[in-house]
Amino acid sequence: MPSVEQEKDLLERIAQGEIKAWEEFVELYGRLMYYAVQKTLKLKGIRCGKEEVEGIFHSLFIHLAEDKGRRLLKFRGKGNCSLATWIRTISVHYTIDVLRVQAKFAYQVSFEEVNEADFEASWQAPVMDPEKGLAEKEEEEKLKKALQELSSEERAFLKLYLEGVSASNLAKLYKVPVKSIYSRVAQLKEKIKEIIERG
Amino acid sequence: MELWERKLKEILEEGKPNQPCPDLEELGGVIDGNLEKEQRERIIAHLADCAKCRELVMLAGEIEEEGEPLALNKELEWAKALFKPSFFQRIWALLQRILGRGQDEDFIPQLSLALAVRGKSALLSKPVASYKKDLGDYQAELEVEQINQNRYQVIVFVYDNEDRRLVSGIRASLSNKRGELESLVVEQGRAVFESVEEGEYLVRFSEKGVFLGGVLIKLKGEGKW
Repeated sequence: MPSVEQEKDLLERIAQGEIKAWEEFVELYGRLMYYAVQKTLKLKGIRCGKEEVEGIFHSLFIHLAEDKGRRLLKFRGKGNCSLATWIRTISVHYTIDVLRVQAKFAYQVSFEEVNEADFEASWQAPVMDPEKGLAEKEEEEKLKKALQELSSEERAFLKLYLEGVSASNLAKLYKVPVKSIYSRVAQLKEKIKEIIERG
Repeated sequence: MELWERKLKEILEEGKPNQPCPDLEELGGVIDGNLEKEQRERIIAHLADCAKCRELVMLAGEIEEEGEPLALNKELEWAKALFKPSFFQRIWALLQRILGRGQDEDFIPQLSLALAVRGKSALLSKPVASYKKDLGDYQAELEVEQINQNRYQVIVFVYDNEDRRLVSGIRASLSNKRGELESLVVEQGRAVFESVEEGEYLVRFSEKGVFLGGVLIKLKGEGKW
């Protein structure tokens, strides 16, 4: 692993117009950039071929090479972020931006599995039965109250988990092993249950 | 996702981030798990309230540095050549000739834009999303195509799981929270919901009144993602 100083030095040399430094950069991070573009498209549910991935990869490289790599000089190694992670984050960010600009014509479609129990409970004629509707409303109120009793930190954790940040990703974010993420979810679930039962 | 989780998610609405978005290095630091406690907590609190940064961290966090080995020699050679002044100058001169422009300092960003648009427009040629759903004896495939800015077509294919034969007689219905909108019988393995607006829908499969499975589809149109 190169040190932050070595990484910065490489970027400095690129900014000075050293072609060898740029070639080294491409050799070190080109594959990562390509992979990040490809994977981002895949995770965003965009089906596309090699040509499309290359289109974005090319424009991303041009984006970074412009003006003797001036954008690369923004790297400071802040927060102990490695150059590789920074490049990966830029690549994802750039790809999302490309997709966003495309939004004028684009669309997003997502699919989600529904099991029968959930389906019955959440979709089938929920408003036809006023009593059931009332019970649901009450339940919702209870949940809302219970959430208020959680700390802001606990709510933030739940929010990230429920928004789909994966357990392995959360584990990295919180610097804990993956299994403690699962037990934390279970604990919070239990805590909410207790608060509701206590009334 | 369990029902209680879905309810909680609904209740835990998006807050308003009270701090400006962290820069990409700080987000990278949190992905690497290298931030000091205080900084980390600040960024995690921001992520809970900011969908844009959360998405970035979710995606970048899923991408391992050691991806599949990619045979990219041609691509990498291309990228290396990019830095040689002659590369830009050649394209520049060519484009200037085509467009009849004079020397223009702003031209390189425009060139990058042109190539970026090339990347984007190539993506636009396949506006189809699909999903496979196992229905026990059958396999359903849903394909969503965009017809215009906010209308979609949802095509349902149903095959026999064993011999891949196209199936007829399965009922596919489309409903939203207000109730059922349309119900079709799959003929020769295919049924089409012709014009569906953006929104959240449930496609429900049944055979002789027996529920086989359901898929939730979310269609979001222009400018909302």
